[in-house]
Amino acid sequence: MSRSPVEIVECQSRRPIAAWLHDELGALDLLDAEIVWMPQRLKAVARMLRAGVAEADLPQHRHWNWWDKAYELKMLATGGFGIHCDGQWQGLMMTTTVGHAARLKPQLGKPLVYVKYLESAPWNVKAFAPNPTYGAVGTRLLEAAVRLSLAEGFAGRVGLHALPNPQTERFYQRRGLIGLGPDSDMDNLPYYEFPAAAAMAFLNEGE
Amino acid sequence: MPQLTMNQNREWLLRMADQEANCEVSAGGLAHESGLLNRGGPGEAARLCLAKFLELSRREMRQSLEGLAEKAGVDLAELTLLEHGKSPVRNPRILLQIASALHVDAQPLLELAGLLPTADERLVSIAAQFSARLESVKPLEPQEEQALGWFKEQAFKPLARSGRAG
Amino acid sequence: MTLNLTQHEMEVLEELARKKELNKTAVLRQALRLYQVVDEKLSRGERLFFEDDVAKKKAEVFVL
Repeated sequence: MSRSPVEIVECQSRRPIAAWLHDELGALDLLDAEIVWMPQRLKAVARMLRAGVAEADLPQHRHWNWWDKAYELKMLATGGFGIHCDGQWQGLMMTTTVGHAARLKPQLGKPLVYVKYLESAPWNVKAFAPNPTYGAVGTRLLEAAVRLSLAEGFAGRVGLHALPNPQTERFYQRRGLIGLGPDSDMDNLPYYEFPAAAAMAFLNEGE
Repeated sequence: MPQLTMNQNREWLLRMADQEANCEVSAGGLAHESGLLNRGGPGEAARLCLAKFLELSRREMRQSLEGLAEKAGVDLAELTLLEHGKSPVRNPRILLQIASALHVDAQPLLELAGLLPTADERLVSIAAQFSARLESVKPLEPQEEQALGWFKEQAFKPLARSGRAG
Repeated sequence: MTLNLTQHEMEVLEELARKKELNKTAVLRQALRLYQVVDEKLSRGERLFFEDDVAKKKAEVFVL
């Protein structure tokens, strides 16, 4: 497994701190993450239910299980990425380079990196933790997806289906991804695509 | 994969963190696909093979279900469901504990349950052969013979009467 | 590793590379990845179809 140094942000102090971006996750890495994440998600959900939060308002990925997805890593086309810091996985992402192509003109039909799953650890997500620990984890994983796309010769193109949540969609829109609306082939999840130019602009912002 | 050089601009990083702060940044296309992509090896056939292996191994040790559940430190209801092969195994812990109690390597059991990617493709064929060897070759009981005769008579009507082929 | 491709295969490879804006190695890499995914799904008993929404046709694709 290879790793690259990366900084994320400690929320309380608002200081950048050193972390590692790992790019060849194995099944046991996903298991290690889930062993810690699952109980945290469940505790947070219990807390919210006791506080009277309606079931429809609970975080949409509260029942995800990365261990269930470990099998996918067997495929050449699948990429497994994670941000590791402070002895824990802070965010995970799974990508694929097949089965999806660009939908936006003029890049219609061109290959892209499709983000199958992306999640920050529950203690980094406001929906689960009132005072999130680390920030910019999702941004860094999106950045990794764009860099993978460049490395593959796909010019930075990335596609994903966002969870239908206004804040999530606004985040992607602000990064420059273009929304193509609910996708009836994917349970009406909204599809977003990073055109090559916008993806490069996103990277250049941070150089 | 070559090492990725990530952005180093800290102002940009802090700005991104601020914007991300109120969001659930995530992507979930696979949530849709997970119903199509089965975990692990050959699915139901492997699960039934696993169930049969557990049952025969337990009986070889002359253990009751309760005895093995206690020895392995697992819930009796969970063990019973496993031996029936009716539901998928979600938690690897139970198989790790049962493997330990049966003095076998847990890896093939986890692969048959679909909890680990299949490391050895021969396991699929081995599982199929194991199941095939267990297929019963006992003569039919009188009741079974009667029911089968009735079914053949009802379902496979002669062509002249039903007008349907085979 | 040296690949022996026919003239026709090379032409197809070059055309795909041009169309997808990839180099030839990237095209072959994508082909291998796709083959593995399709093979994996088929071995699980899933089936591969092309669907034509306009003509309302569905045709099964076999992969040997």
